[in-house]
Amino acid sequence: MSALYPFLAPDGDAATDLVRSTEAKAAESLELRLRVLAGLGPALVSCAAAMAAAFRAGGTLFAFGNGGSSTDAQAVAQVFRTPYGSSPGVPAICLTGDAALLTALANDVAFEVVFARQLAALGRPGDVAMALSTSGGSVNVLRGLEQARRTGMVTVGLAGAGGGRMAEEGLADHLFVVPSSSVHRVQEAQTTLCHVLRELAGRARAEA
Amino acid sequence: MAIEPGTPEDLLEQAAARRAAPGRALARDAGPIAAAARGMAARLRRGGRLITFGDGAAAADAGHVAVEFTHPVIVGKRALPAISLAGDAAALGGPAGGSGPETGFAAQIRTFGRPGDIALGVLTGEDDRRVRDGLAAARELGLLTVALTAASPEEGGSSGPVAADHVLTAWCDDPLVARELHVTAYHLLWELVHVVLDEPEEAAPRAACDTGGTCVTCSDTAVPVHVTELRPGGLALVDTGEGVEEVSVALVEARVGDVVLVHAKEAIAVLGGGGDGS
Repeated sequence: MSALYPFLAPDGDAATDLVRSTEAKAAESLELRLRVLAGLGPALVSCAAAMAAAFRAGGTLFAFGNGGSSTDAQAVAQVFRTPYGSSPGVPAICLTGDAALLTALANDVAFEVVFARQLAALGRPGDVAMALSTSGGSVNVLRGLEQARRTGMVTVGLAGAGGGRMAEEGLADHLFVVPSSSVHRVQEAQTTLCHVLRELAGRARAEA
Repeated sequence: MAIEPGTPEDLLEQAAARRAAPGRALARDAGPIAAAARGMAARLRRGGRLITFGDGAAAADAGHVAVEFTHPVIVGKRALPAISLAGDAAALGGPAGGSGPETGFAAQIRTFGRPGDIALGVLTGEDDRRVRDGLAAARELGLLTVALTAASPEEGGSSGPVAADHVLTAWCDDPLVARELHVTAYHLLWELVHVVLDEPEEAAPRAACDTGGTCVTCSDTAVPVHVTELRPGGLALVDTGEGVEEVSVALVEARVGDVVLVHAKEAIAVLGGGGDGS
């Protein structure tokens, strides 16, 4: 566990160490969140403006990802369709909520197409595709972004570490890379980025 | 939560400022978080399962917690039994808007839960009756109850006290910021549970079959073993290094000679090598 908890002293009191390392992790989580907000600020503002324009024109948000990022995508869709302050909800749906569709596509075709196929069927020019990944390398997520771009959607990508293929291949119009090698810290900062996008997009839409 | 007027740059600054104090408050709650993780680890060590639930965006978080435990992001960490009750719309159907002890999460807890399990409810502070009912049902049955909740630091818990063994509060009245802190809190719980499970076991009574080391049947560790014989019905004999046991290989394509990873008597992965095609 030393890789996860480098703060644990080898011979220290286990209970005290556990609390101290928890404090350190929580502080690290906050520090990363504030750092990405500061560093990615202009990109967030520009992305929120593009999303707000899409919603004003009747666009829908499609969110997707794998594993923990699939549930994070569900939360993103829920957060966008729920009113926040004076900002009304917008049409938003997650592509990982329908087990019948996911299992049918994965079983009959391939797991790589589970998002691309849905976007080909449901997406329209002017919609927004938001892809959540910690590696930036999940093939089904990348193919989803490719399909979204072919359809003429606004593409938003979230990744961690170096951004992976999502960054290398420039698959997202608006790319947010969280500079951490910890999957957990990346997801935590991504949650903040998505929430702030929702706050900013709601504001931009109200003011337009 | 009112968004203050201003330029996008002002809004960004406000967004950061609104997160600083609640984030620091979470760090100050490290003691309660660690205590909850210890309680959870003790249950998991004895074969308990983690059952999670939440409504709205917290339903997604319930699913996220469960996948953290069952399919760890860190290779080599043992898979622990966890399930979200929020992922199955049919199970939660019932009469529209139904609430109360016989519907929703409470009903699922009553049929699925066992006294040695853990119930983890994620509360948003908004309409969380079903989550509260689920936690109440779990307490009644003897499950360890953990609540992730949110409260305004001024009011000290506006949504009313939550009855649970461990209540971890996001001190914040913005639902989005509170949700962010819940994500951090459950990641910490997962990490801490594994730290505790990796500690030498306390002087708890050990099962007779667990005194000699690896028992694939009872152990909550995923153990690599060699497949020595395939049997009908998706079963196989495996060599654990300390003896031969029968396990299920129904979930994997195992061949004689393969090394498979076994968790709770079920092979969950083929680590490769050795298969002679027989």
